[in-house]
Parts: sequence; structure tokens; C-alpha cells
Amino acid sequence: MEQRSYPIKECDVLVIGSGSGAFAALEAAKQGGLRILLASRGPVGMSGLTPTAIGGVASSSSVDALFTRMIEGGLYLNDQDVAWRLVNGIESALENLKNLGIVVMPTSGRLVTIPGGDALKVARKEILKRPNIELLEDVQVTSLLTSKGRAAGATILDLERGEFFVVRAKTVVLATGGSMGELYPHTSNNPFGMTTGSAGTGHIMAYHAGAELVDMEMIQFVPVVADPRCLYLRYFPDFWEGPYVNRLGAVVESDINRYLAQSYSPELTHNLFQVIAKGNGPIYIDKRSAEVGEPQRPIKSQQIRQKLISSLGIDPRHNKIEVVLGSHFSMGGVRVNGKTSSTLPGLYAAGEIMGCVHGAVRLGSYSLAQVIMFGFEAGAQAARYALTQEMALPPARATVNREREQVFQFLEPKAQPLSVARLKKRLQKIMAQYAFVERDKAGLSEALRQIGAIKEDIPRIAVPPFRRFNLEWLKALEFPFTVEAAEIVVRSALVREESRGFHYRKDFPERDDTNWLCHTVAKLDQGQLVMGTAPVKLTRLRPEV
Amino acid sequence: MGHYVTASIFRYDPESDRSPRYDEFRVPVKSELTVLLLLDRIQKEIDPTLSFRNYCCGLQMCRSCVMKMDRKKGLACITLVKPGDTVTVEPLSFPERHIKDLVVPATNREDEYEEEPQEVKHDFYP
Repeated sequence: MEQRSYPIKECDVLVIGSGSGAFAALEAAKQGGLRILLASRGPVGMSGLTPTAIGGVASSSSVDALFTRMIEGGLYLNDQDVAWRLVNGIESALENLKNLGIVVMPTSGRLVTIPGGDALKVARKEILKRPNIELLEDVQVTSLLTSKGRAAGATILDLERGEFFVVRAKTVVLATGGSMGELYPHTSNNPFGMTTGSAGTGHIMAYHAGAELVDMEMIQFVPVVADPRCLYLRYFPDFWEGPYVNRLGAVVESDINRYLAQSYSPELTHNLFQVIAKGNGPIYIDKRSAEVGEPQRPIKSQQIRQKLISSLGIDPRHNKIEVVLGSHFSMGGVRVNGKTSSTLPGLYAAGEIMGCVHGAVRLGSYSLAQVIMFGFEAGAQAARYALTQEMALPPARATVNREREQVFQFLEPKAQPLSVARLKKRLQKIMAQYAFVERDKAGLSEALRQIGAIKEDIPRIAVPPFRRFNLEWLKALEFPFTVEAAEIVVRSALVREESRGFHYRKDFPERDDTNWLCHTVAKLDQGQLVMGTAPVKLTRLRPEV
Repeated sequence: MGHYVTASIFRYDPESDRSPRYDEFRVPVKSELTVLLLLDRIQKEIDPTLSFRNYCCGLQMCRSCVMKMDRKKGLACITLVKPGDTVTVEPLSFPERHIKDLVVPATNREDEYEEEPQEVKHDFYP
């Protein structure tokens, strides 16, 4: 029998993630004396993508109106049972937040705003008071464990000390957010070009454990500032509107407010993409000739930001600001039902990692709603599961030891070492060239070939050999997940032979409801990626014929 | 006035170092940048063994980059340096449960959560 070379922790519910989805799940799961463990990559409130969110939540409108908008916006690729749960659950989710002392501010007619980062800091203080909840911060989950076809825990690396351990759990909630931050050279997920960990780890771990992924080709691309890299334009709404001009100064978008019904619209993205493709880029936001007064920034933090962008020379009233297109949101993800159950028993998914919710286009103010509402839902469902199930059998020692070896082999010396940065650059170049705003069969096939070559180079990744807070090690651990996420995006894009929302195929430029009103499905079968399709749940609305 | 920022950075790995030291880096820069970006450049291009909390929300919302710059506590994401400057960068606290270089445990920073609650009100469409 193989020796065990790792410590084991046990809990009833393991929640993985750093943002609001993870917190809401934790909150809802604390019932019946269940022992809950939260594994977060960084300190709660100081990691994940929630602190970068602007904080709008669709609300204060009729449920039917919210639903119809969502389905028409998502071009009927949403599973309507899931979408219906969402729009019906928002109000009570907001009530839950208010009861926890989290600020929910009404803003405009049908919107409320939650300052996400602050809310998480309030939440963190609450978490630390609770005896049944253990908070593991600064840890990276490296794999999900299964036992007899159900979720059974995870293997984890403590980043502070570089120690590897196992958590056994009755059930697991994945709330690890989006996955597309590292796939493309530019992304709003990495403000200033610094990684926030949106590397596809959650999606691919779920997939390795046996869960299905749907519609992974659906990625929202948006304009971001070129320098400083990927500054999120919408922090400065008066700049974001445009006008957008091309290299010659001709206006290509005079006022993008006409797109606001869809927030970041595929038409806007496609238009800007074609300006660049035709050689008329780069694109700038230029407000120098506009009559723009001193922007109203009543709050101190806004004033500091305004000062910072002025100092950095990126105030569009005085400078032309170059914008580029980057990835923003992943509409595809883990296949779930309205109760957040994945296709793997005992595994729940909440937040951006969920597929089936937004269809082909994510609308503004629906994502934080999704994160919070389904966060609570996933926690409640996981608790129900944990209260009725025994602990799964322990994972096979050989499996865990192999995973441990995988994690530590990065620290070993390599004969022909390569840095993660270099390989990642190669991957991002491939994705930007072949799997970006416009796609076609030839390009996607070439992308697959080149991604295959990168996979072969992964064993050459070398990392400086120390254990404590080793940033290179963390990047190296994430990278194979990112490569696999890229492969699945490309394979899914190849499968969908039509154009819909953010998936545009040059060789199939029309939307095709007859053949493609369905999800693309990626699944691991006998160690191989198998692609397929599955019907969309059209329980309430159907597209007009 | 040069085309460099000179950064003197606190280094200490409790597992392998007997005592802390300061490493000096001359970083070529074209224009003004934040200390957080400077640290990122150093880690990516000069010394991959540098440890700091590199999570970045963008602009002073997550407060994960609280550290000392020229002995003053601040956010590295909004502290600017320009060509010709020198800056000393140190962890917020030392030595209690020090992790490595500029990284201290989140629980050493309880007061950071209390301080200056950021009232952010957005009156625009997200």
C-alpha cells in the first residue's frame, strides 16, 4: 500500500473561491452545525474579481421584464429554468445581503449598487466570528477529488508556506469566477496587466472531475485601455462613452450609449474589431474637442482615481487614449441546473463559472445578480446534500501522491527550461490570432495544432526553487489549466457552425436557430476531450420564426 | 534625472535567510508609474523570486497592496514614482509571522479592514 505523504483536513462543505459567490455560498451553508471550509486564493475581499466589479445589480423591475430582456439579450442560448430562477431570486438575495449589514444602494430606476469589495470586508469579519467556519486564505486548490462518481474534496497548496494538503468534504461549491483572463493578451480581468487569477483553474478542475462544460466559445470582448494595460474604462463612465476615433481621426463610434441596452454589445466589439482589421487602427477615445467640464467626483476615492489618471496622462480630456479589445466575461462554464447542481453529484457551481445563465451575450448588471443569487442557492443546496450524505470514501493515496508530485515537479531543475511568461505569451498570441472576435474553421484548426505544441512544452516550465509565496510557482500551477481552457474554447468554437452573440464565424456568418439553438458540451471521457451538443431549455420563451 | 527608478526593497525569507536585507533594483522606465507596477516589472523582468501581494483590483479598492513606501504606509497601486526617483519599499509589519519579502499575513492587517471605509457610490450603468 502506498504511503501517505500529506496532511488531511475534513469538513462537510468545501467552498472554493474568493468573491461574493463564495461568501454567499458560505453564508447559506451554515446550518445544522455543518463544518464549512472556505479555500480562497487570497484574503477575502482582497482577491477574486468582486472588488473589481462596479457593483450594479438588476432589480426593481418586473420579473417578467428582467427575464425577457435576459433571454432576448442572450439570443435564446440561456437555459430558461436557470434564468427564471435568477430573476425570481434577486430580491430575496438582496434582502439577505441587507440583513447581513451590507450596503445595497438604489441607483437608477431598475438598478441597485453593492460596493463589492467593501461588502466582502464586512463579510470577512462575520466569517471570522463563526465557530463552524474555517477560512483558508492564500491557498490554491490544485485538483478536485472524486470518489465513486461524486465530489469528495480537493488537493490544496498553501501559498504562504508552500505546503500541500488534502481536504475531504461531503460536497464542494465552486465559486472561482471567470476563466478567460489569461487566455488573451488583453483582458479587463487583469487591470494594469497584472494577473488576478482568472486562469481557468475552476472550470478545468470541474471538467477533470467529470463535470460538463457548456458554450465555452462564448466570451465577451470589450474595449480596454492599451496603456496602462487593460485599465477598466467603465470606472470612468464619462470617458467610456466615446467618441471612438480611428488612426486618421475619423469617428467610428460617436456615442456608444446606443448600445447600453446590451452593455457591452457584440456589434460594438465587432465594429471596433473591423476598424483595426482593415488597417485603420489603432482606435482612440478622444474627448479633447468635446465640451467636457471637470468631471463630478463627489467621493474621495473617485477623486483619488481622477488624480491618478491625470498624473498617468490618461485623462481623455487632455490626451488621446488608445483602446484595444480584451476579454471580459465568460458566458460559458460548468453546466448547471436551476439549483446550481453540476453534472457531477455533490459538485455545485455559483457565479461566473456557471454556464447556461447568460447565453450568447451577458447583459450589464446581470452578473453580480447571478453571483449573489446563485451563491446563496449553491450554499443552500450543498448544505442540504451534506446533511443527508455520509462522507465520501477517502481518495486513493496514489491519486493524491501523483497530484502532489505534479505540483512539486515545477520546482525541480529542467534540462531545457522555459519560463511561464514566455509560453503564456505564445498561447495568448494564438488565441488573439485565431480564436478572438472573428473565427473560422481553418484558423481554429491551426490554433489547435499550435496549442498542442505548447502542451508538449509544459514539462519544461522551470520555477525558482523556494516554497514561500512563490509567484512563479503559482503562475506555473495555473498555466496547464489555462492551456486546457484555451483548447476547449477553440474546440467549442469549431463545433458551433453559426454566428450568435459573441461567437462570430466568418465561414458561418448567420445565426442558425434550426441547427444551433443548442449548447456545445465539452466533457472528459476516458482521459479524452469529447465534444457534443445538448438542447437549450426553452421552457418559457421561443425565438420568433 | 535618469531613465531609471531605483528601488530599495526589503527581502526576507524566514526559511532560508538569517536576517532581512535590502536589494537595490535599477528599473528602466519611460514615464511615471505606480509602485505596484514597478514591483510587477521587477518580479517579471529582473528577479522572479520577489514576493509581494500582486493581486490588483485596479484602483485602491481591494487594499491588498498596503505596504510602506519611504517609511510611509500607503497603497502601492496609487503611489506614483517617476524616472529619476528612488523609493524604499517595505512590508506593512515585521517580524510577526512574516511570510516573505513584502508579504504579511492577512490577519496582521485587521486594522486595515477598519480604516477609511471606502464609500463608493456609482451613479452610472455598470
